[in-house]
Amino acid sequence: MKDVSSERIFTVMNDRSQGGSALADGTIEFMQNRRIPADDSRGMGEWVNEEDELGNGIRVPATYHVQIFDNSKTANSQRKAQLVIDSPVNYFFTFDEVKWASPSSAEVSTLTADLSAAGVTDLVKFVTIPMSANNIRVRLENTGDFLIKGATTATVDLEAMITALVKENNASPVDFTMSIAEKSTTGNMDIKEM
Amino acid sequence: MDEPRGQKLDFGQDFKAVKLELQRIRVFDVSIEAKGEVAAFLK
Repeated sequence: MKDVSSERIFTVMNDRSQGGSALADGTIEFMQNRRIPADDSRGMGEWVNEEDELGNGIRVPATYHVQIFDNSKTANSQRKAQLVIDSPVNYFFTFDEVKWASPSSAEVSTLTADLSAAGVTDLVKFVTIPMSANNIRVRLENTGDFLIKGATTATVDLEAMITALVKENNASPVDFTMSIAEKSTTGNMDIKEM
Repeated sequence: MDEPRGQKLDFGQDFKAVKLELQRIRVFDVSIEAKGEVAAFLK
């Protein structure tokens, strides 16, 4: 939400699609959860009233990432929040003592640098989905929008990106070939058929 | 600045320079085939 007469912006990011509105000046309303007490006579004959085992309305945990800022002075971090929400840090623990040997240079991951060189920068989000052996689906998204200063068209070297992923996932260099076909956004048609 | 998309999107097959305009999503299927030593090992 942006003030029309200034650079003031209010952003909210969370982990679900959500209704929101500003019904009166100075107020913002978010629908955390829907629950109605009676049928609305719209034909279903059943109304949304999810309850826990004690008959209370269910608890719906959500985290709101809120930023209120002046876009001329402060960087917009809305899309960074989106990336953190979509790909939270995963923690792994070991309960046995592990003595790590110093890795050789070939064992040190260069994935971050390789992806950055391929054009996968801060605002570019990618998702990989294994489809079958040796086949992956890659979804690239430019999360940048017109309210982010400096956000622009991104150019990604997809071949370099795939090469970086193969390198990361193999202990020694692999000689390989790749073939790429662009799909529709839903992934069920070749783009050339559209 | 963001590049205008125009009437018809350009679905060029240059995978070394995939253009992503603001808020644009593109999806690709990638097949990888090992050659040489790894291919021999997999057989």
